Amino acid sequence: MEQSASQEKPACDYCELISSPGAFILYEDKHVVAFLSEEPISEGSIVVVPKEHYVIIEQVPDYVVAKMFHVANKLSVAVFDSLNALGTNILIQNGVAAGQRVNHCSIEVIPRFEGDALSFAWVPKQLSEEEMSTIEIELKELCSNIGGFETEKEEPVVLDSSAPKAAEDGAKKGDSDFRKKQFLRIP
Amino acid sequence: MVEISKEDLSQMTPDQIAALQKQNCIFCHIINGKVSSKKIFEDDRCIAILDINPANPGHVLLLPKEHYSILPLIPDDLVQHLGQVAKHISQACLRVLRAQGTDIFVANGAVAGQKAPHFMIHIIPRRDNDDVSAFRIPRKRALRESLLRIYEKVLPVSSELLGFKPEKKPVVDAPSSQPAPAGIPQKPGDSVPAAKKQGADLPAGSVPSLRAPSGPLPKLNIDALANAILNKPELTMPSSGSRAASATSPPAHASPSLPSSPQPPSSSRRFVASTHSNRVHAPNCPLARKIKQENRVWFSTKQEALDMGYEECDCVKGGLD
Repeated sequence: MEQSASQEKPACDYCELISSPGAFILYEDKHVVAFLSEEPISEGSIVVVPKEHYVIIEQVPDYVVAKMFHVANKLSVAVFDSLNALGTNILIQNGVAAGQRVNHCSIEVIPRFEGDALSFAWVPKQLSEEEMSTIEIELKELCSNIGGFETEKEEPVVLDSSAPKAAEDGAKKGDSDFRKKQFLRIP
Repeated sequence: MVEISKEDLSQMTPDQIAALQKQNCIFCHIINGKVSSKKIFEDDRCIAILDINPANPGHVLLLPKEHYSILPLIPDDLVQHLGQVAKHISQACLRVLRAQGTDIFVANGAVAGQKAPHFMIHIIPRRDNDDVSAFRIPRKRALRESLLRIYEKVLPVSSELLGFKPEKKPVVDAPSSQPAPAGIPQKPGDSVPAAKKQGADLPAGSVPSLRAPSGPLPKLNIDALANAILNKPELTMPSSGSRAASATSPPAHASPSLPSSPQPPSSSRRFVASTHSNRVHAPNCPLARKIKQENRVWFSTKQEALDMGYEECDCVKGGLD
């Protein structure tokens, strides 16, 4: 049933937004899209999302996370220059407990101005030495495996069987392109 | 730390000031081992330590080993490396501390709340209803005109930096999406795909659940609704007041009643659109459910809606007239 097919697909605001004609897209490539937030924290907030639907950042492949941070950094610089912001905040809210509102992982670049009514300050807690040591040991053990990040799988190269012959013909005809000759030279 | 007068500072070159900052930077001392700290991760380019005044237990600071004060000064490859490490540390926090979410936060500049001269990424584990109110920020929907103004200012600069120019301009008149409700109605774990293997699988129950504050909407009995539309012109839409409290196996609502008045006669309520968008939907479409009462426009035939300039949503394509 056509209607039931559209019912079962979870409605994701960001997936819909990035494919709609009304989105203010600032950057787009194979993996990442950046656009102006429609419900900004501060005027000019930009949202960077992976094109594919991932809910939390732990699910996003490492190379896409790297790209997202790169784009967020450049947009942060753009915001400094174009909106005369005096500072920026970069915020990833991972999970409802952290304040995530849309079930699509996102990095938000928030421009900050002198005298704006925002504050991300928190009340620092004092933990006992014992608690801190326990957390340190547990986290250290798990973080020791960090490294060897996932890279993008390259597309397999399709070998064109006519290409080497064309190069040979070119060389035989007395082509002065030394690069072609170099490839055909047998050491 | 060496005391420097304002006069001396004004006569120093930027390089000298940076060197002075580095000399006085406590985080550089921590990295060099001169000041003790609780290190949880270290590699050749960055280091992660526990914050001694945490927002929540397990608050981690991720610092580049080289002294940089703000993010724009950091080389691209290091930014990417820090992002990937931050993701893995967040994963470790979720696992070890049984946290229900994490906030990954960067403050660039004193105005943004940067307190230390050394760049750092904060990774703060969060729990439901914990007392950290820092990241609960109210939001307002922006006007399309103001978004367009900002877009025209930012796009030239970002295009230059990122080497991207959009092929077409955004359509300003038609809003791109309906206002988002307070939470996405879904069962926890429903639309969360299996966590990709990154060397550490999330144990069951620790994936941050995404649920609306008032609970998920009940799952509709789709076939019953479809039959209702095919056989009877009366439209039924779930009422917003009938949300199930429990997240598991919510009861099916076969014929929930439409809230609010006034309503047009039932035979003319077969298709619905919004005054704020350009698409016409079937009443059981998830997008149609999000249309505010005061913005709903009803049609008895699809052709009427198309004549008014609406476009078909996927839910009505190829279906009834």
